[in-house]
Amino acid sequence: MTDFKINIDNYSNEIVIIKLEGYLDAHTAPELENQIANLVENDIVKIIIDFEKLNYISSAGLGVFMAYIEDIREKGGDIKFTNVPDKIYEVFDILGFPMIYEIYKDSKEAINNFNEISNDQR
Amino acid sequence: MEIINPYLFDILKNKKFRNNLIFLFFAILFKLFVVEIFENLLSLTIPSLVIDIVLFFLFYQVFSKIGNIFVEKNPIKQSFVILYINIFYLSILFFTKYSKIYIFTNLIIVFATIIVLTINLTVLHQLYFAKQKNDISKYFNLMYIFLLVTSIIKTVSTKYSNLLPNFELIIKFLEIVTYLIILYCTTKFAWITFLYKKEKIFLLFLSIFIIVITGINSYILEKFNLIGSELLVSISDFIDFYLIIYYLLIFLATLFTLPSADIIEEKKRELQTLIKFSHLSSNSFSLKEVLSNVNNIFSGFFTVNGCWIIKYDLTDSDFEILNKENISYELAEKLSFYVVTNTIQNDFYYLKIHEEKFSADNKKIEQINVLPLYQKQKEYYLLIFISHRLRYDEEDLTVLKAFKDYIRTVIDNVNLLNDAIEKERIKKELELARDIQNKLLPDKIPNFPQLEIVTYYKPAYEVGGDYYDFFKSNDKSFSVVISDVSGKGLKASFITSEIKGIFTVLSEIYNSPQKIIIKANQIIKNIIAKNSFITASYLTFDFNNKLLRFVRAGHLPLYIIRNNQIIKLQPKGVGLGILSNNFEKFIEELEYNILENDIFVLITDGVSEAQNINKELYGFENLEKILVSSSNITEILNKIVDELAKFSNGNQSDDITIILLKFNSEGKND
Repeated sequence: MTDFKINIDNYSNEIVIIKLEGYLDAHTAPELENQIANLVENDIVKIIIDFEKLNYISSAGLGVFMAYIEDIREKGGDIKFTNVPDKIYEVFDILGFPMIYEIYKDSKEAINNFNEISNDQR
Repeated sequence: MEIINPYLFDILKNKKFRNNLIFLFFAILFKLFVVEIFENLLSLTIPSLVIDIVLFFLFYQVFSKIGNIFVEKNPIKQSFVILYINIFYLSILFFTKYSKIYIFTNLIIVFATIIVLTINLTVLHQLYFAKQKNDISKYFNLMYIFLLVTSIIKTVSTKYSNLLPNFELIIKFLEIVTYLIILYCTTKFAWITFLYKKEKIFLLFLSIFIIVITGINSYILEKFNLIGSELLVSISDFIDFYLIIYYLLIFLATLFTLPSADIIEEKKRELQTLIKFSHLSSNSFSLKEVLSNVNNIFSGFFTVNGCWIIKYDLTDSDFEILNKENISYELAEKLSFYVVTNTIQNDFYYLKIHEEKFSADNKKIEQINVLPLYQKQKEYYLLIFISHRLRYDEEDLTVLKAFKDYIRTVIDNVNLLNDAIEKERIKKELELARDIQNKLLPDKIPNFPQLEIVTYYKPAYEVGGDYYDFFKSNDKSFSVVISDVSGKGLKASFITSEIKGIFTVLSEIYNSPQKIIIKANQIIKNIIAKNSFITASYLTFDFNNKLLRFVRAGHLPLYIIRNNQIIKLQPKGVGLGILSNNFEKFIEELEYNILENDIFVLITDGVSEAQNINKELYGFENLEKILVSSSNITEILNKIVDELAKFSNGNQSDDITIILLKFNSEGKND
């Protein structure tokens, strides 16, 4: 699908930033799901999703984030959202995502948060 | 032979035939009483001759018609008729010669001769035309005329030789011409080409018999001068000449064409085989059945001793014998194995066998022939056959190629047909699923005096993931549930039917919407895939206290329209099936006072996320504008539906559900 793009930015050994672009719907969701599955398999569980350039998310798209959240949290990681546009936030809000996922203004904040947690653990 | 033939009745109905029959009767009587009795007294030669000619004509007219009934179109059987009739004639001759009956002897022979002559002529006439493509009737008619004219003149000349002294030369000339024409006519035996080998051998003996019997008859007639009539003797001579020469030629021609009979037979069989093929395509739906018919038909080809079709799978190098003709399974298996261990070619080929182990019925198999019929990816369908024939020429290869091409077309057609049937079957099953799912939704909106309710539901595909229902616990309490499974189509519809069960049971047990939603989450979390979820809203109207209790599990907000103003209720809540723990912490039950004429609007995201060609969403703003445009909920609903159809231009991407409820405590809603 040309109207959906995933850019993976390996910020560090532990943290990955996934930048989404275009339309995340039933057709494109499996692509993202595979990427996340790959990361989880390689024990990279600190994942930041950047929604800045995402135009649309459907229920199938929302499902992707639920698929692995329990596994990821069990492994001590998390999925954090950043740069969520208003339209998409509205969808998140209706579904109750703000209660389940941490949402940050930008990736810097999210990274800081990951690092703080690691520091605390030390 | 069909002796009782409806044709007999047909000719009896023919007026001309009946007249001939009557004339014949009188002619016989006349000959019997007038000519025979007075001939010796008065020298009535001329009347006798005339009556003979008339008799001959009448007999010919009658017997050529009757002869048509007995004589079949098969030349062999027709030749048999000639043989029988001449044996019959021979026995009559013997009978009259050696019996003590002297009265009417002459007459019996005359009648027998006339009958035999007419039948012989009828059959010869039919044989003359058998398998002839051109109109050659004029030669036979000419022969017929000359035969009669010569005979009549000959008869007259012998009786009145003193009157016509110079007739000798003319008669000789006429006789020679008649014999020449007869000779020409005897060359018309094209029908022997179309006989089977067995029939030809049979015909050889038959011709010898006919020649011998006819010869004996002719000899007896001449020697003992049994027939008084000169005319009949002459005609008889000509016909006997015809018969003997004709069957002599047939004998020789049959003898010479005997070696080529096999080839003609084979070509004939091939032709018939090809005709059978044309029925193949229209009869079968399954590939197996088609191949079975192919094998059956092919066994008539190329003097095939045994043939079978195998399906050979290149991936696991395994083959399966689909069907076989005239060969044992064991041998077919052995030979198939031999075929698949060699390279498989695209067109017809054969393999020479030098090993001893391949033999059947004490006969060594020297060669196996392989005709690859069809290939589907790594699956080969091979027709294998053994034949007496070891060599195949250009013509055979052309036939085999045509055969193969035809089979391929038939198989393609069968495959296309099966695809179509499969598609139709899936369509039918989806229709059934839709019927079942339509039963999940309330078929009738419950009649509740304080609420006016209108609904709209349209799945994007045959079946959908949206669901709504109404539960009436008592006169004062009424609940509405709406839910939406993420995803759509068949997968979502399975979950939908479970949701119906869950909410139906829970609404019976619990009164609190919050409790119902929490319990529902527990159940759903266990049955749903990790990457899907369900959003739901549960509303309970308490008419005693004019109160609405509302819980929202990730579903779209509830719209309340009050005095043309929109109130959006969005208590916190998470979709069902997402969280197993702490779900109840994120669920909030909202209590809300309701007023007269309040309109409650519940939708699924098929409305707000309807897309147009430019992938723009319909959104909430457009919806809200319509909601305040009227106080009649039917009107509002129709407007929303129309607008959505216009917006998405008939391209619905998600299931759509819309429910509107209007509160009126008086129970009078319009």
